[in-house]
Amino acid sequence: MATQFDADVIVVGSGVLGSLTAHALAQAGKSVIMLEAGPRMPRWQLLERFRNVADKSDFNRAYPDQAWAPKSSGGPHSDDYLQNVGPLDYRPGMLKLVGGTTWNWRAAAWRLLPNDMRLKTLYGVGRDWPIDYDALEPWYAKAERALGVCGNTADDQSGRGGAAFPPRSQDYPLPMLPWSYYTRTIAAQVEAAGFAFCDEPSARASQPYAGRPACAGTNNCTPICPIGAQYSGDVHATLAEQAGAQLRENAVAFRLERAGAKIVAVHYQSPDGKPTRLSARAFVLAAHGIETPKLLLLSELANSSDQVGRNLMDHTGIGVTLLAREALWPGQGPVQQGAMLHWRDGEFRRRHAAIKHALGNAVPNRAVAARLLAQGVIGPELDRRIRHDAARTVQLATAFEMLPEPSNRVSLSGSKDALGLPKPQIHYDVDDYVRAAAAVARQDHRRIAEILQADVFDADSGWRNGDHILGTTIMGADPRDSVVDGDCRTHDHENLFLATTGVMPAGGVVDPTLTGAALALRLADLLGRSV
Amino acid sequence: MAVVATLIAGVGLRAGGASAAADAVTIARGRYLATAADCAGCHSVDSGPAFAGGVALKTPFGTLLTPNITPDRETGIGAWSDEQFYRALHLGVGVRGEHLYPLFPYDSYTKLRRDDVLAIKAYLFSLPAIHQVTPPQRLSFPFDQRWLLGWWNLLNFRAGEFQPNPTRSADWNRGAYLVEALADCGACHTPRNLTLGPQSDAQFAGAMVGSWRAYNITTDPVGGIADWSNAELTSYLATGVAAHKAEAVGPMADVVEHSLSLLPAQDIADIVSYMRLVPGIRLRTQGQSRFSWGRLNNPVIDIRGNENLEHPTGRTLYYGNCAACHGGNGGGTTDGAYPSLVHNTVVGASEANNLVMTMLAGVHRTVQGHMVAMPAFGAVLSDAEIAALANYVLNSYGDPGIAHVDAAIVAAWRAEVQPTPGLVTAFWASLGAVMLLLGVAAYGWRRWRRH
Repeated sequence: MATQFDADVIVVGSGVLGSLTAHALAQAGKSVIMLEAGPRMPRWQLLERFRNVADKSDFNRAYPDQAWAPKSSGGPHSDDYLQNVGPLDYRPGMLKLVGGTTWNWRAAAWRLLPNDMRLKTLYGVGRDWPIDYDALEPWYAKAERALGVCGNTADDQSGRGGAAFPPRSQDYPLPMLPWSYYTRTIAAQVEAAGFAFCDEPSARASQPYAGRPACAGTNNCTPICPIGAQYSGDVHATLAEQAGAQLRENAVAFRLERAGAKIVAVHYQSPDGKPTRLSARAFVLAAHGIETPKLLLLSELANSSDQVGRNLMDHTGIGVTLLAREALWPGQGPVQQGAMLHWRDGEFRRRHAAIKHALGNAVPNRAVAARLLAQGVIGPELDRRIRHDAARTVQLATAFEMLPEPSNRVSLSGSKDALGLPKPQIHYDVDDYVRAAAAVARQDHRRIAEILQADVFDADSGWRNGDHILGTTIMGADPRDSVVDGDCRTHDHENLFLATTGVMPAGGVVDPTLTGAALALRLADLLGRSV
Repeated sequence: MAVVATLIAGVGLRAGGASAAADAVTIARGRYLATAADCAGCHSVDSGPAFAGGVALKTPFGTLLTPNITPDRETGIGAWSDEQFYRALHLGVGVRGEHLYPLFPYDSYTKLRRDDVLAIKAYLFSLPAIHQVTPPQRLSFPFDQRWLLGWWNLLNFRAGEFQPNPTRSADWNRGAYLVEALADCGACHTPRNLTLGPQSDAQFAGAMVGSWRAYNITTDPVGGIADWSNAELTSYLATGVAAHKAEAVGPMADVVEHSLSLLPAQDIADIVSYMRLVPGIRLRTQGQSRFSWGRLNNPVIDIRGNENLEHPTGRTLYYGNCAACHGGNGGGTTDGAYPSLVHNTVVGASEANNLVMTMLAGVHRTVQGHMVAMPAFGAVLSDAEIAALANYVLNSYGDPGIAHVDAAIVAAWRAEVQPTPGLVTAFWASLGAVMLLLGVAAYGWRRWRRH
């Protein structure tokens, strides 16, 4: 048995979950190497790239597009990377650079409800988590501090308009951001009509926090916060380096090497194809919900259950655009501030998916202008109509809970990327559980339009994914039908851990990043004490 | 203050009779004096217990750790008599008769009235005793020879309590006591002479504090603060902001946060009264006042599609790092929450120090619960990038005549990016040279006497 290792722990991926893990391990005194497929880029450069790019319809476009590390769209090396073969085109946000995909996100930082983790027991559908909310709660609190989450501690996030829920041991580290006029007005109107409206907790500095400035309200959360008030994974990538972790950029992990039941090394390629082998006592894959199962499939590891890559879930949803009678002025403050969660939990989950109606607050001018131009409106009338319509546009983004289906999966495509590695192949669809919820949601949309005295402008966007990749390395108590245990350790290899939202066997109907962060900090703690 | 003192006195009377009441009043006054002098600035580490010392004051000759001044008998000052405490502040002499290093500003505290010194002691003694050993000082030879400080005292130190000036108003005299004896504004704003005593003919005319510039705060109309209104001066001292003109950054932000903003309004008014009568001095060539430079300028149309992000110009760096808050045209926001760079006292100064240091270290100032922060760009931008950015800002919004910052200067200034105590380094570098000279002279003189 070799006693010389290149590191105690190697973390593959420098996004939010990999960086949190690496930072915690480095702080615990472990030697850590992080591998990042993409390059390192400073915020100002990404910001200027976005400002310079003419086509602002694809928010991925501002991010580096490189042959050796393709993203999910937005460039010649990336547009053809994800190979969709199913009924629905599934193309979630995925960036390859130091800091990962949270460069471009809305920073929603919800906790799951205790019942979200007991779906099978309570409602007879989906899967239960092997751990319960109480086991995760202290790590949620730590994750909220790490990410700098602002929110309203008093809110009932179960959507019933009752007492504070779910239970929390600590208040949000930052007070909620004040609501904009748009959010305030709409919240008051829907609440008067009986819908509870809840502040969206977000990893956004409402006050200066840990070197980050307070949100300036540029409404540019996506594709990039111009000032870093919004959390992004590069924060902990940098902290990990300061704590002693080594970060290797442009290092594309392509194979894990096994000896017996243990993983002994990871192999990565440089952009020129040159391979490097690194050994360690333990390995953490934090390479995104699609790339993590791809790497396991490439290595033919951790897959005795045949569940690697399967059970792909998201919060696929539908959008509706309304045109309110009065001017509400969307676009002040962050791009999303709150949601209606009255379908978040209840007996109905036996019949249909949980539903979240998030109120979009992005400046709608681009979409409004494109629509008017398509209608042939030009000249001064175009200016007048853009002003008129943009001030009254109300966007609802409705998301649905999904259940794990083995046929929704990531596998290896026959098509290869520039390094000769198979591209991810994706088969994706929504089931009747989601379709039944969509029918309920459309009734809500009509009701909300009535309340706001709004015309329904665009009744149905068609299916839109939420960029929330779940299930692809599913967690469970039984090694026969799951990939990792409740500690995110692979059932098959005791020194291989996964830090990805892909482990979540059920994701409720809320954005999963905070849950992923809590799981990552929990596994880092375990690993820090055992390696 | 008087109201607070009365309330505390009332509680004291009920609790323990007349002498306890007197103590409570004294303690309250001592607390106020300790705030005005910002004792905690040097004697408390951010994360540690108050006044337990251990703040590292870096000098080129070693690191001085500030002592524990809590009433712990073994490791603090709990065993000190009133006389010993008074001698430390009044004469700069420790309990064993040793000279204290003048980093401890006894040359100001000597002006404190004896009852005020003892009130500070009463306040410190009312706090919890913290048992925390301050490791021994380790300065290299000859700077570990405290007897040499006798020379420094001979040249630069005059013991003596503050004497009111009967020809000035009561406001002015109260302000003088605050400025000269307690807040010690001159420690940063008055340049040092060759032997590192205050340069008596240039009081408050501006000086270096590490890499930061403490500006000219005399009444010179161009170099100083003559054109600031009373309201602007008052607001600046009490909150760190003179709207659309000046924002306290660097060490001054610390002074506002930990001391000035906590003083009663009357004290600030008294300080302003005093400052108004400081003789105007212009040490440097200043064509126009700091807040008169610049005009709005937004070259965004020239930029889009024409940027080289691999080799960025200052203009590109400005757009990527600064414009989201300070505006593409440098105008900030109309409410001043994001300051304008035009007519800004830091950008328009005749030295680029504070502009560069603010870029490197950011701004952190919490006043009465309100946090103001600008991120630090020191870890994001290289020395060359900071230099290019500073030159763009100076050319656009400041004095183009000084827009020749280069990477080497930034690197030198960057080495000073430390909390306030690190800023004494430059002072020490010069002091060291002088002490070396004096030490060699003394050594030579002794040898000569032996012959």
